[in-house]
Amino acid sequence: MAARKAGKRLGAAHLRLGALGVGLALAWMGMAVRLYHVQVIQAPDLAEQGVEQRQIDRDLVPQRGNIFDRNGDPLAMTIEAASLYVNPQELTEPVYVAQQIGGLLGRDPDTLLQQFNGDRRFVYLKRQVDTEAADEILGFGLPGIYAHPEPKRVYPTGTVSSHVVGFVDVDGVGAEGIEYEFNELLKGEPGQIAFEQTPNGVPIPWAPSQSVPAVPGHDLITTIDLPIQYSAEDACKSTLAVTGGAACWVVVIEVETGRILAIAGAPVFDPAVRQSSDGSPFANFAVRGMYEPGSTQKLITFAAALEEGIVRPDTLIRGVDDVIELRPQACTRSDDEIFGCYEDFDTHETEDMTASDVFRRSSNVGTIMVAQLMPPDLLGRYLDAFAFGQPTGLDYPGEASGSINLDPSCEVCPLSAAIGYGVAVTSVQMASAYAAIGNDGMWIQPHIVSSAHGLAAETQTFSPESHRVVSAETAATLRQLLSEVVEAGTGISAQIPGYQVGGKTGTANKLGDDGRYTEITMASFVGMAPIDDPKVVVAVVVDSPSFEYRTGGLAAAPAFAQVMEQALHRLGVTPDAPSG
Amino acid sequence: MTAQPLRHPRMRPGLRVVAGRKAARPAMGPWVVFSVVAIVAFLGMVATRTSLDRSAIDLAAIEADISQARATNQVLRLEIGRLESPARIAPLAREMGMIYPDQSQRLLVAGVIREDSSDPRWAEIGRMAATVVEAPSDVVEVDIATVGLDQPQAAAPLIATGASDSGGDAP
Repeated sequence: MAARKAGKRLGAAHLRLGALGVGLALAWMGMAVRLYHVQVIQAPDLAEQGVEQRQIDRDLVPQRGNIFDRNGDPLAMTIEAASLYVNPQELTEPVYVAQQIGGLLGRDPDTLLQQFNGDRRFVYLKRQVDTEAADEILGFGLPGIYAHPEPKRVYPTGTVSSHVVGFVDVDGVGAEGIEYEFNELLKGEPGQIAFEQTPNGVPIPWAPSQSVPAVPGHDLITTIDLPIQYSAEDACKSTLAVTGGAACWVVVIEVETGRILAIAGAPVFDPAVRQSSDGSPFANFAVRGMYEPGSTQKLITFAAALEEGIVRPDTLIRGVDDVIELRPQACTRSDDEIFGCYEDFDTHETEDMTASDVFRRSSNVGTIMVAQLMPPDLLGRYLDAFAFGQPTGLDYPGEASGSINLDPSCEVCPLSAAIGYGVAVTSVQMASAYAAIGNDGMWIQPHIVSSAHGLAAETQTFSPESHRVVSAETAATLRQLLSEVVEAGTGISAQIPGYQVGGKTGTANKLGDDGRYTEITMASFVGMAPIDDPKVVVAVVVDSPSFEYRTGGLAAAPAFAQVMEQALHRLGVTPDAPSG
Repeated sequence: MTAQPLRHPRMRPGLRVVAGRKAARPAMGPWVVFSVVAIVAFLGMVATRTSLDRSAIDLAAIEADISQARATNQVLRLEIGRLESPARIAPLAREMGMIYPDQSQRLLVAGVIREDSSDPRWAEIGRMAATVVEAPSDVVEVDIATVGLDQPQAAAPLIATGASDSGGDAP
């Protein structure tokens, strides 16, 4: 009986143990099923979800190439900046942010508040601010304000090189000038990186990652000489202050190479804010603006005449009056005042002049008489050879081609062109033409960029075109004529202490809205120095100087002297004349 | 005396004493060794991995520092560019009373024409010496003894010696 009781107790224990075992087995089985479900069935989806949470895909913005002058001074650079933005849904104090933070950043608070309203999750506060300023604002700890890095283009020289370098838009894409022309070289190639990071933003080591490195843009070395560029801009500003002109442009070219040492003008504009000092357009008039050159064009006329042996410097031109009618009664009929009647700036008796005198005194009548000795198509051929009426191929966007009106049906057009009327030129074209005379008759294509340097030290060098326009002897003769203009002609104001200078004044009346010539002029002076072995050509154009400064000798020649003197000193050119 | 004689212990049913050899106990030594090795290896792996991860994190931090230093370098280069800009320097120079020289002065070193020199400066001076017949008043002639022929950069003594009659100030 005791054994039976013991057996019954043992059976109950076994049952309890068995029940416990079954329970545990069921629990383990449930866990196993759950594990199988998570680790096998749901594994791909969960793994993908995990990767999505951890993985960061980021575009790598390439560093835009820098732009330097010929001495390695930076004209345009890129620095790291920060763009501040808000998530309006996270803002707890939108009014405070709009007023205080927006005010700090120069934003209109009312506009910001309007942008904060609605369903937006991203509103820029300000793009491309200094990292220190961004850190300071983020340091306020206001919820909803964030920053992301963004490169910013800066121009250390400010307005000085703005007409050459141009500027980029807010997204860093070249929009004007060299920035636009060489944007493909400057912009580089973006990269990509994919990596995993913790919720705290710390990259996870050894986690799978992919990266395609960004390729920085090429650095450009220009031919610009910064001190000469500044001298040119300074001279233009001074000229406008004195003459009351509307605009002034200066081009400085290195004679033997065609390198543009300076293209400057006034009014200026700040490339960082893309605003002119007086609201005028950004256009580089020296490259894009066309004007009737007036007497500076006579260099081409005399180049053709001397090269073809039509005249020599001592050739006597008889009966040079101070007025000439190319059509009967052209000077008396009011409807023919545009074409056919030309007169010298200074009244004089009818006299005999040598070709040299005609050039030195800038006689329109005498020049027309020389042109009348030339075959009809001769001047056109020489204008074409000197690259007038076509772009020079300058590495700058939007270069104007100019225009030449030599319509065969217009009998007076070639004669008008001989004295710089009926043709339209750019300052760069005129400077290049004079540089050809300084270079013993070899025309060299002007250029601004000399080389581009990439990350792998690969270098692209830009080689200009060149061709002969006149013989070296003719060029030397022309230089002698140019020196006489400065020594005793209309260009006396262009004289420089210590250097022998040659050049030509130009005074061209501007056309009015009614199609008739007005008293307003385009005053210009183009010259070179030292005259026996020219190193530099400077071309100055002053738009609409006041009446008392309306001539090239009064408005442009002094600016030429200032720029040329500083350029020659800057380049270390040995003086070739006694001082004073 | 309350002692009770021992009862014969009732044998639990199913149990009986079996005479035989002593049961062999399993050897624990190899298992202990294996466990120690496994634990040590595991801890070593963890330590190594942790060290590598820490190095990777440090590397990422260093790369971030490098990137920051590059950015700072660009900012400093920008500052240099702004400070060296002629648009900044020229007005300051004018405020300080500096003027652009309005006279050029040539220094002709008498008797020094180093035709064998590759230095273009000597060639230029030689050219000038060959073309100047009479020294104009603005050309300063300097005694050869005062000229450091091996030190063409020593311009100060030249000017100080030669300019006394022309009224020029020594730099």
